[in-house]
Amino acid sequence: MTSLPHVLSSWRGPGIASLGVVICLFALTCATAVLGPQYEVTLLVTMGLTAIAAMGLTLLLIAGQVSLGQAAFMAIGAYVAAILARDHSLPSILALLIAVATSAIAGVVVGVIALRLKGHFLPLATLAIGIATSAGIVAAGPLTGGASGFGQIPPLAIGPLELVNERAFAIVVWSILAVAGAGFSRLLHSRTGRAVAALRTNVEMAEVFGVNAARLRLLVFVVAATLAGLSGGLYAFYFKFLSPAPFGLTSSINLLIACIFGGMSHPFGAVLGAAAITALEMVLQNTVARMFGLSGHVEMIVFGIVLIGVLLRWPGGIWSALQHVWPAFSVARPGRNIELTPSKRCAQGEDLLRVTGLAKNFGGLRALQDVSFSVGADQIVGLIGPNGAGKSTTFNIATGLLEPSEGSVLLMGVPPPARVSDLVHRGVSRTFQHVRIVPELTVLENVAFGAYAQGRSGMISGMFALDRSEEAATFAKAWRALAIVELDGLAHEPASRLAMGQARLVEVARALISRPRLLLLDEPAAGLRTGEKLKLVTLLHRLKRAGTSVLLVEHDMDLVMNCVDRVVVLDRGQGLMTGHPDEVRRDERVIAAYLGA
Amino acid sequence: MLDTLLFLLVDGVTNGAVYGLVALSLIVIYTVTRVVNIAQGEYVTLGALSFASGLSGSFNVLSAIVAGGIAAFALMDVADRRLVAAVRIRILVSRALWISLVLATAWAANLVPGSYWLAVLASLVATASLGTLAYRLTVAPLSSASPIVLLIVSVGVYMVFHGAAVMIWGAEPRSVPPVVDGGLTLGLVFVTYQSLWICAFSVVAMISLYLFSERTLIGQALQATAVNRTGAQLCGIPVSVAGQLSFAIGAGFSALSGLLLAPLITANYDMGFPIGLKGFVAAALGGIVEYPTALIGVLLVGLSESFSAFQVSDFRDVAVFLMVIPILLWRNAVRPPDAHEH
Repeated sequence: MTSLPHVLSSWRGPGIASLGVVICLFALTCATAVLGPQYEVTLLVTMGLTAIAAMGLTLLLIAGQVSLGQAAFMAIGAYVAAILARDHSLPSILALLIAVATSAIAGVVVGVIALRLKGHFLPLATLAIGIATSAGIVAAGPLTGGASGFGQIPPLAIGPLELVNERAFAIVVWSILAVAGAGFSRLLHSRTGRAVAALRTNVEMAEVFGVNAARLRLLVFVVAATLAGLSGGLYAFYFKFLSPAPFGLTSSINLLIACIFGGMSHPFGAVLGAAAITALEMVLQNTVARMFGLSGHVEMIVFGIVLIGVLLRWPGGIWSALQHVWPAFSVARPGRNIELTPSKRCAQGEDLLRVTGLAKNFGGLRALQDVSFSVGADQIVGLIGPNGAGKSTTFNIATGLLEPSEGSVLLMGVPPPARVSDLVHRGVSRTFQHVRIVPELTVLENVAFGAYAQGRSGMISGMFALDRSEEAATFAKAWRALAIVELDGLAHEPASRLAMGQARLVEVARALISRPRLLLLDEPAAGLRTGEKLKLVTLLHRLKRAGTSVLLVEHDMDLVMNCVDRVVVLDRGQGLMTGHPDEVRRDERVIAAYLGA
Repeated sequence: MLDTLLFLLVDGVTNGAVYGLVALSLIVIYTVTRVVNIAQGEYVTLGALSFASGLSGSFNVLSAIVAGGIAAFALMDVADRRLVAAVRIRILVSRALWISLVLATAWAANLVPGSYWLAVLASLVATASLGTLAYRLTVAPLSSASPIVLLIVSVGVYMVFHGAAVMIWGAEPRSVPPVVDGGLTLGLVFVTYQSLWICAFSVVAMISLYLFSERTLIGQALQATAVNRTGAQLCGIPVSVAGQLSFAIGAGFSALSGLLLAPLITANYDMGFPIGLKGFVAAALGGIVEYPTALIGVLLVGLSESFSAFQVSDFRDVAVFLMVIPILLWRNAVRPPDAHEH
C-alpha cells in the first residue's frame, strides 16, 4: 500500500507548514531560553505552560464542548505531583507521571458524569466542578497547605539528572508544547479530526457514519484534562511553591481567553493566545505603568479594551487573521480511479429492508398505522406522500432512530442495531433532509469523513502521521465519490461556501464512500436545479447497476417516477398503495390524496 | 438555638433576595442575547457606588460618561445615509431626552444630598443606560459569533468596568447609611429594617418584571425573542432593541441589588464579582433559562451561605458548588436544553 504515489498523494500543505512553523518557533524559543535575561525565561515557561493547558481546551472547543473548569485539572496535576514528591519522597519524574495519570482519571470521572449534559449545562457543570476543586484545596489544609500554600517542592529529576536549570526547564516545556502542537494540528486533518469536527456539527450525523459519539467526546475531554494535568505538574516543579489562587475560576477563564483570543479553530491559536496574553500583560506592566506612572487598574482597562477590540475585529481570534497566509488543506488527486462498490453483495432474493405492520404513536397522535413495504436487492424504492403523511417517521424507524410502537423492521434480515453508530457496519447509509455537512472542513474532507467506519487509525496515529497509507486510500475514494457527483472541481473549497444543491450532492457522495448496500436518501432533490436533478437520476440508475439499493423519500413526483422500480404511497400515516410507478400514477386514491378530493 | 437558627434564616433569605436580582438579570440577558455575562457583578458594584455618590452629594462621573456614550451612538445612528430627515430628527430628539434624563437625575441627586430616592433613581438610570451601551458596543456587532466568543468579550467588559470603578471611586470602601436605622423583634429574632427593606424591594422588583413581561407588548416581544430570535425578527421585533432592553433591565436589576446591599457591607469596587458569581450559580440551577427555579436556587445559595458561615467548615463551599451537578443531571434528564445553541 505504501508505494510512492500513495505517499505523495497524502502530502498535506498544513502538515508540512505546521512542522516548519513549529521548528522555527521552537528554535527561537530555545535561543531566548538560553540567551535571554532570567525574567524572560520565567515568562517563557509561564507562556508554555498556559499554552499546553489551553491547547487541550482548544481541542475540546473544536469538538463543540466548553469547559469553565479546566484549571481544576491543572490543580490536580500540580498538587498530586507536589504532594507525592515532597511528602512521600517519590522520585519526582514518577510523581509527575502519576499526577498526569490522576488528572486523566479525574477527566474520565468528570467526563462520564458531565458529558451527558446537553447545551450550556456542560459549561455550568464544569464551572461548578472548578470552583468546588479550588474550594476543596483550601479546605483540605493538612494535605495541601490550604490557603497559605505548599512550598519546598523538590526539583524535577530523571534518575540522578536534576532539572534545576531554569533555562533547560523552559526548553523542556517548549519541547512538549512543540510535539503537542505539531501533533494536534496534524490530527485536525486526520480520521479522528474529521470525526471530532463532525461531532460539533451534528452528533446524529456523526453517529450515522460510525462515530461512537459518547466515546469520542470522552476521549477528547480526557486528552484536555491530561494536558492540563501535565501543565499543572510542570508548574509545581518549576515554581516549587503552590497556592490555590492560580488554579481558581480566574485561571479557567484565563485559559479560555487564551483559546478564544488566539483562535479556537486551530491548536496554534492556543499558543498564539497564551503568548499574546502573557506578552500584553508584560508590556502593560513594564511599559505603560512605568512610563506613565499609572496604577494597575489602567492596565486592566487597557487589557479589556484590547480583548474586546481584537474579538470585535476578528471574532475567530488572532488565528483567523493569519489564516489566509496558512496553506489550505489539500490532497492531490490520485492518478488512476478506483471503483466504489458496495461492501458486500447480498444473496439473491434477500430483502435489504422489510417493514411489516408498522405503527407509531406520539402520545395520543397516531403518526403511522399498518405500513408495510420492502426494499429488495438492486431496487430503487420511492416513498412518497403529502406533507405529514409519515414519511420522515417511517424513515427514522427504518434506521433505528425511533422505536416503532407496533410492527417490525428487518434490516438485512435482522432488527436494526441498538446503536446508530453500528448502522454503517450493516451497509446502510443515509443523507439528511436538513443538510448536515461540516462547514469548517473542505468538501473533500467532508466526503472523506464518510469512510470513517472503514478506517482504523486513531488519535495517536493521526497525530504522528502513522496513518498515511490508510488516509491515501480514503482520499482516493473521496475523489472518486466527488467525481461521481461531478463536484470534483470544488474539492478544496470550504464546505460552508456550497450552494444548497451542491451541499446535497456532497451528502450523497459522503454516503457513497461508506460503500452502502442500502442507501436512504431523505429529499435529496430539494433545492436542486433541473440539471442537477437529471444528474441525480442518472446517478441513482448507476448506483443500482453497481449493486446498491436505494430508498428515496422525495416530493418531486417526476424525479421519483423516472427512476424508481416501485413506489410506496403514504397518506395520513397509512400505506395507501404500493406498486409500479405507472400504476401509481393512474391510481385514483393517489390522485385524490395529492390533489385533495 | 432556635433564635440562632431564625437569625441565620433571615440572613440567608436577605442574601438570597440580593442574589435573586442578579440571577434574574443574568437570565434576562442570556435568554434574549445568548450572552453568559461575566460582567454582571460589575453592574452591582457600579450601582452601589453611584448610589453612594448620589447620597453623599458628589456628582456621579458615571452619569457623565454614559451621557457621552449615548451622544456618540446618537451621532453614529444619525450618520446613516439611508435615513430620511424625519427619522433623524426623531433619533436626535429621543437621544437628547435620554441624555437629559441621565444628567438631570444625577444633577438632582447632586443638588439634594442625602435624598434616598433621588440617589436610587440616578444610580438606576445611569447603570441601566450603561447596560445598553455595553450591548451596542460589544454584543450587537457580534450577532453571528458563537456564545463562547460573547462570553470572552464580556470578560473584557468586566475588566474595563472593574478598572473604571477604581479609577472613578478609588479603592476605599464607602459606608452607606441604611434606609432606616434599627429594626424590630419578630418573635424570637431581631430583624433590621434594612433586611426587610431589601426583601420587600426585591419582591416588588421581581413582581414588576413579571407583570412587565406578561402584560405589556414590549415584554411579550422580549419573551418572543428569548424563545426564537429569528422568528421574532421575522415578526418585526428588532433584535437590537430587544437586546438593548434586556441589557438595560439586567444592568438595572443588578444595580438595584448593589444599592440595596451597600448599607450592609459598604460600597466598594470589589463587591460585585462574588455576588455575580453566586447569582450565576443560582441561575445555573435553573439552567439560566427558568425564573422560578432560579428563585429556589437563590434561596438555597443564600441559606447555605449563611449557615456555612456560622458552622465553620470549608468543605461546605465544596458541597454547595457540587450540589449543582446532580441538579443539572436531573434537569438534563427531565427537560434537556436545546442542543443546537452552541
